Amino acid sequence: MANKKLPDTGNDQHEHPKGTAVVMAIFMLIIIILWGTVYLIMLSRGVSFYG
Amino acid sequence: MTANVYQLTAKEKRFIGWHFIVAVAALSIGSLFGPFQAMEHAGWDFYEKFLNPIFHSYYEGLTLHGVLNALIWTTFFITGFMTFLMIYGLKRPLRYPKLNALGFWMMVVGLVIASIPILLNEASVLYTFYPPMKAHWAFYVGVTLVVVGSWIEGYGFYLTYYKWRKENPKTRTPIIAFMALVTMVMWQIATLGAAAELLVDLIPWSLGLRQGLDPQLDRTYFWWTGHPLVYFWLLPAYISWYAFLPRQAGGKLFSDSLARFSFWLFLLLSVPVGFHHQYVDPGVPEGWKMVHSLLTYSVFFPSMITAFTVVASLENAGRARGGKGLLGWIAKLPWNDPSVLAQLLAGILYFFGGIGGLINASYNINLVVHNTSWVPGHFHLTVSTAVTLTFMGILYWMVPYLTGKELWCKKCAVIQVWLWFIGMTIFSNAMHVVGLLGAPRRTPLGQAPYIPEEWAGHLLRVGIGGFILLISVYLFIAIMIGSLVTKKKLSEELEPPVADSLLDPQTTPRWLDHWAPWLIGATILLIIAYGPQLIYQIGTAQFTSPGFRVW
Repeated sequence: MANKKLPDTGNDQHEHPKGTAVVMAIFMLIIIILWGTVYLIMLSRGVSFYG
Repeated sequence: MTANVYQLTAKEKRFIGWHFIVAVAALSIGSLFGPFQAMEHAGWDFYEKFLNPIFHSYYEGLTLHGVLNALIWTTFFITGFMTFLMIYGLKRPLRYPKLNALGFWMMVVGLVIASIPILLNEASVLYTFYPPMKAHWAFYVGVTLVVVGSWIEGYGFYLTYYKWRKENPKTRTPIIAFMALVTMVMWQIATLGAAAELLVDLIPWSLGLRQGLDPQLDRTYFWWTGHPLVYFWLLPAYISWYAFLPRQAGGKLFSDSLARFSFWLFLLLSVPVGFHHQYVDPGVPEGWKMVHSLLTYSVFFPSMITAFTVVASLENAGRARGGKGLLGWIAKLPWNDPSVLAQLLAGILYFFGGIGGLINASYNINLVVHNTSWVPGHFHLTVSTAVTLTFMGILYWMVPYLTGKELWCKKCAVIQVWLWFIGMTIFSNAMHVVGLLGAPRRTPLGQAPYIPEEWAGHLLRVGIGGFILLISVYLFIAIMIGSLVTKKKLSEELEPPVADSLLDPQTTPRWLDHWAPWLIGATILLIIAYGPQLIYQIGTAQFTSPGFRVW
């Protein structure tokens, strides 16, 4: 929520966002797992390149 | 308050507030039917027991849910939010406030006109129109007026910006105004498809001025609009994540340049992707589906820029609050602030919505999940969570700002947000899973005689999730009403939490503040992606399909 008087905020140092890199890596991993899982589910039901 | 912060007048605040009142009123009615559909899936049919004969069918409820939530709640909220972004961002009043008022009232009139046939069960065609299902003409006219009204409000923004630009030729456009303008331009390009469908085909057809139409052509018109419509909903949420959330969390925007670049890419790439909604349409050649598929994947790029920049801004905030280590900053974020909490939880679920979007864009999987409950499971993570929960979070600071009164029951707001997160997690997961098992969408599954045993547990979870969401949404509405009627006034006026950028925005490259190349690029891309197919489809159209009433 909006503060009545907003203080000066944030870290002005232009640091490398290492934590963000970790979060994005985890996200990419989840994408690969879930996307791959859906493909495998489809293939397990007999869906193939030959219809 | 610093001297250079523009103070909105009481009249401007009231004008913005009316947008939100209509939006929340629409949400309060539209949201009633979503949980009823979810509970119907679980076997608790409130339609037959309680709603009949006032509401006549499942499909009337589904239409109300879609139109009021997906079209009205969003469009009124967004135009109101944009009005604030333009005035506060450019630090000046609207140039022609009567023009914006005209747009707003046109939307209200359109809403009323569209609602009447829906409530009379004369327009149960769902919010996507789905011709050759045929609604009463008033439904199409009403929706058209809502869209045109939003355009007129957009013209008011452009004229305000034009005046500002004349007076500030070398200044970078303030980021919140810039993002609002890009969103409005994208919307106006996107809605050309729906405008063609409504004005050329559906309205004359519903009035009896045309004998038939070509459903394939109308589907192409609709999905020109239909997918970027999602970005019309999402971009205002992104504006809040980029430009407000970092400040609310105690930090700064990580990169002004990246934020602007992502918005330009959304302008370029949001629209020429509609055929990925038409993978199962036999009238669209495979090659064009592939072109749109690749363009759809390209939207992943600005989406990832957004994810990275927003998370990096939050990391900046968390570290400013004392967070240590690789991930220790996450716990330091103000999770007890309902506005921040709503946006954080919306973002978390949106990660999964984004993954579902990639899966939907995959041609071979889409063919399997396309007409299953997977799809509503997916878009309840996007429009119903990333968008709606973020909008709720915005209102948690915006309503006190506009009214000068305290937010009523802050703890209730925190509970409301968690309930939404929990309810949606249960509901959406169950919808995805049962969709993979083959459950059809747009179907009252409680009445279906073919339900296999393996669906039962998931459909029960759909109902439970829907019930929790019902509690959450009405708790939200109670908080909104309570905040309007409370007598607890704020001791001093609130300052909107617009985030500073780590680097001075004036250092942002000039090419990121130039409209012409991006507009030309968007036009060229649209011509390439849609031109040949539209020429072909219009040239070979068979306007022979009569209208159907299947409800």
